Amino acid sequence: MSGRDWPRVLVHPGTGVVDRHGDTLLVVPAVPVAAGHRVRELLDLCHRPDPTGRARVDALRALVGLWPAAEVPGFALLLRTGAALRVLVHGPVPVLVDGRPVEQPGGRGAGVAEQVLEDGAWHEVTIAGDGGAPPQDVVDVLPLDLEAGTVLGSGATLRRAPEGSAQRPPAVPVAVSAASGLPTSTTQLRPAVQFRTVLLGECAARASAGRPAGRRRPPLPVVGTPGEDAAGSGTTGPEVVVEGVRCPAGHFTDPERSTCLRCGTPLPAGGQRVSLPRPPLGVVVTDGGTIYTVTGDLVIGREAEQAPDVLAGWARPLPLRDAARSTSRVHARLTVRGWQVLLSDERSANGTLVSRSGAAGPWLPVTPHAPLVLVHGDRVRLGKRQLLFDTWREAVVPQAFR
Amino acid sequence: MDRVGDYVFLRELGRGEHSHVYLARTPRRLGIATDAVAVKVLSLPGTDGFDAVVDDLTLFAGLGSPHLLPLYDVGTDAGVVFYAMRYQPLGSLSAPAQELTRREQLRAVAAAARGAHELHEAGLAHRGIGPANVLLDRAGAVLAEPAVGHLLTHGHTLSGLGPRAQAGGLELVDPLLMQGRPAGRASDIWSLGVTLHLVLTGHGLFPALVSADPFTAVRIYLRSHPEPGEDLTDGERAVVVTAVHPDPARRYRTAGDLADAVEDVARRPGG
Repeated sequence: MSGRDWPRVLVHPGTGVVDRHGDTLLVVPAVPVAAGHRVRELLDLCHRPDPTGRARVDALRALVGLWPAAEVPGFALLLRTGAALRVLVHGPVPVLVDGRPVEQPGGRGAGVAEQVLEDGAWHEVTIAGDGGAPPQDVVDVLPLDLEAGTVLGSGATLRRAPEGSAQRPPAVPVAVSAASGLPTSTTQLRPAVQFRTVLLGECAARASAGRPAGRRRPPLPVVGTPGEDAAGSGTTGPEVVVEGVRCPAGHFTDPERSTCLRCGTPLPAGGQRVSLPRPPLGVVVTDGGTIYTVTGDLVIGREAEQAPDVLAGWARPLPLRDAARSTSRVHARLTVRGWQVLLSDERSANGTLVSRSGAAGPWLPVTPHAPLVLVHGDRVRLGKRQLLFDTWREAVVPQAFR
Repeated sequence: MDRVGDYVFLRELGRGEHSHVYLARTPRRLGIATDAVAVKVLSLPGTDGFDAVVDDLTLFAGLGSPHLLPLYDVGTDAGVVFYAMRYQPLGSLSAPAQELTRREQLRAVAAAARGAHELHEAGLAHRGIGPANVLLDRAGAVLAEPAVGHLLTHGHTLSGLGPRAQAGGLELVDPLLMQGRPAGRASDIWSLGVTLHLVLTGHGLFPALVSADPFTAVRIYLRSHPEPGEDLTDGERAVVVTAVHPDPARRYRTAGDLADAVEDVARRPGG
């Protein structure tokens, strides 16, 4: 985003932090001692490459939710996207649009509130700190404008100026303003909220003067009919064909094992090998209670969604975060090869450990160069988070179901 | 949160693992004669799957079934997905506004099963049937909208026990889904059977899941079978056992068949 897309940025004096970098302007009006490293993280986040801004906003919301409330300073982050300005606010940081306080749809609670201001719907945005804006006489004479960098400050004012002029246009009555082509009072004082909706059901029928028709689909197959196994997929992932054998109970399983992966039945020697789609090889359960079926590679980490292999569609993300940021952005990886599930560390800061004896350990380190084959019941420790890898053993069917 | 899109919230109605539900003023643009609607706001980040969500909810709402909850619109605002639906002041089977008779409970589950059947006939699996999604009204009950979280998450998460959810909620997910079987009629029939049992007995089919931590809960779940409670009539027990049979081929063929069986039990004296 070029600097010309930004209006003039006037920094209010103070001891907080004002940072302008690319398409962002961050204002932290006050920096308590305990919040210093959080401000550093906010700055890092603002400086991260992210053409649409979406990843940074998602990350910002996630981080604020994870950080202890006492460590999160109030801040305002202005993000330039297309022909609009996204205003994200956490904590009691006043934001004024053309002199009027902005209603924050998310409130002033623990989360991040957001407003979207469309170009043309505002002239001046002020993030008000205690220091106040520079005196108007000075602003009118000196070309004050933070073009880039991090400076001390308690707030900032973004001010649009007419083309070719560094001075603010004189205040004019609303009627004159509208007649001269400037935004009307309504658009000046009421920031645009960007949302989109699609009418459904009776509302859609009324709007279109007819019955709404969703895209027609064939009925779901009944169990036992052709195609039934493929219906409504969404949890199975891409199909991979592997060589295996059928156990006496009919399960397709790993031919190199002595017992069936699924039911534990001993496999007879010399069973006929067949090539079929590989079934899921187990589940990974997080200590937070989320369950992933292992059908392909998984990237594990604080920002697993941003890993190149995930963005390319070669792996699924398994996001794992904690308040202490003990997991790395990309911490570890599960790779499915044939019938094996391999765990490798991705040069994480706190390492990846595995225990085959429950939570008590011993915990053995996993290295980047020597992936470990996971077995049923393995616990994996990544920083302060844990995962369980489990396969299934069919239980004896009780009398009631025979 | 006090609004999303042009919905101004009046109060929170409830929250799930990945969503909050609010009572909101009805925007005039909807053109419906009701002062308030329920709005569900999903807390899953990202809107990449929004079009798929619109597809599923359009299909659901377009059926116009008396057994399915009317939906009004679906939208995105500031990176979250939300949708509006009819407000059901009588609550749900998990939190009814007033005590229900056993026959009313049975008929509510039967109505939900009818709704699920219509959905299956239209080509959609529900994936989220449970007592909280069977909503009560004067005519009986309706089935709430299908789960859409899997359309918004890249990881295709099967289920979350979640920090606010209880491990017991795991039993609403057919264990065969964890073994890679796709969601469909059989998995929704499983959920209807578990729902029926929860509503009639007040407890789950997997007693050992109570108070288990996530790791233990999953291990128990993958290695055990449902244990219907003793406090069921023979007819009720037969319905539950058939609905949650470990072999999907021995469950009810359709949710409509399950609805017939439940209504039959409800018609019996003492049902």
